[in-house]
Amino acid sequence: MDDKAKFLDELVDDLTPVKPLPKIWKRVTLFVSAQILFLIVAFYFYSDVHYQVGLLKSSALYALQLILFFGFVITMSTLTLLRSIPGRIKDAVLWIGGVIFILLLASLMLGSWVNFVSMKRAHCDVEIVIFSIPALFTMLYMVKKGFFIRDFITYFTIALSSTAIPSFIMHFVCNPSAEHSLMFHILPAVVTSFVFSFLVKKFSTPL
Amino acid sequence: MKNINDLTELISKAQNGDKASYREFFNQLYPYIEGKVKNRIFNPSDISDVVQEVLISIHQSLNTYDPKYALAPWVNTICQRRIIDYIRKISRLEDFAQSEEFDVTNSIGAANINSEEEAYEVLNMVSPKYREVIVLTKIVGHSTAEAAKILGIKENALRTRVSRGFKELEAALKKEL
Repeated sequence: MDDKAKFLDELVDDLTPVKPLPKIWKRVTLFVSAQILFLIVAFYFYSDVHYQVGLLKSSALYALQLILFFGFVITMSTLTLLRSIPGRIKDAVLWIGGVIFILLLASLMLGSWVNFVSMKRAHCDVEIVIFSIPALFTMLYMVKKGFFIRDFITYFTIALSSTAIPSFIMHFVCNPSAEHSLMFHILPAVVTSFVFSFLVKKFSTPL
Repeated sequence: MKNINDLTELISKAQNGDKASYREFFNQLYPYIEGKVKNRIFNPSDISDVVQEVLISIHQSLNTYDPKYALAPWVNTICQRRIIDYIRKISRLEDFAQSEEFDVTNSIGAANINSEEEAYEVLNMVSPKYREVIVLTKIVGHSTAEAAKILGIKENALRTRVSRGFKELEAALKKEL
């Protein structure tokens, strides 16, 4: 028996019935809802959201920002999980995510809420990093269940889809002014994602 | 095989544990994968290794295939990723072999080795598996292809052993110094 036949026999012998991965939308729903629920519970005990609730009732723009933020969270999670399935077309999701992000930035620039210094959380940027850790490990686990590509983009999308969720929640439980949101909610999420991806790529075992 | 998408039924059955269908799937897929790899990899001795890597990846990723979708993009993506991995690995090994940091002669020089006997003593610091490849390629002077043939291993595996051997030697010498 030649090497090729022997090798194929080994693969065939190793075959066991496989359980296909759940649908992407199910996995995204599970991931996002679990993380949001966790953060709502976590922030419930030490957050005063009276101002934001009032703003949500009175300002359509603020509601739009939250919707866009949520849309970005959904598209990032979808993109990350799609990358773990070989051959799926991801371009449309990537474009939608990019457009949503640009619209989000534009809507933040348009926002003119008064910058309430008193309602700023002391360490919201640090909180974003800390609260993204469970999401990061969950997403890493979910991606590893599929076809895991060890490259910078994979690590970056995993990190960004994880940091985007606390960043989104922070837009509701912290100061939603444009300047503060960009500097302390969005920037830390993006920087953390870059640093995480860079470090993992650098120190992960070479092929 | 006219079209790779014709194998969808076979892979669906394989997902349910049908070994005969799985064997038939691989029999028909093998020439397709081999053709793809041959188009991109120019070192003939590495082709079978990469084909095997692709087939292993397909085997490990069976749960990611949804029979509702075409099979070709799924197979092609896996194949493409393994080829990219191979190219990265080779370029890393080449960089490593060319880098001064892991130049075995520099390490030996730094260890103040004056005779051939002492050089062989230094090589004793390396585990036998790596020692033999270093001796064959760097001391006896065989090419990687020749050394691989002598040891009965693939050239790719030999290059990996040489680079790992150098790393081990470097670490051992640093400890000594």
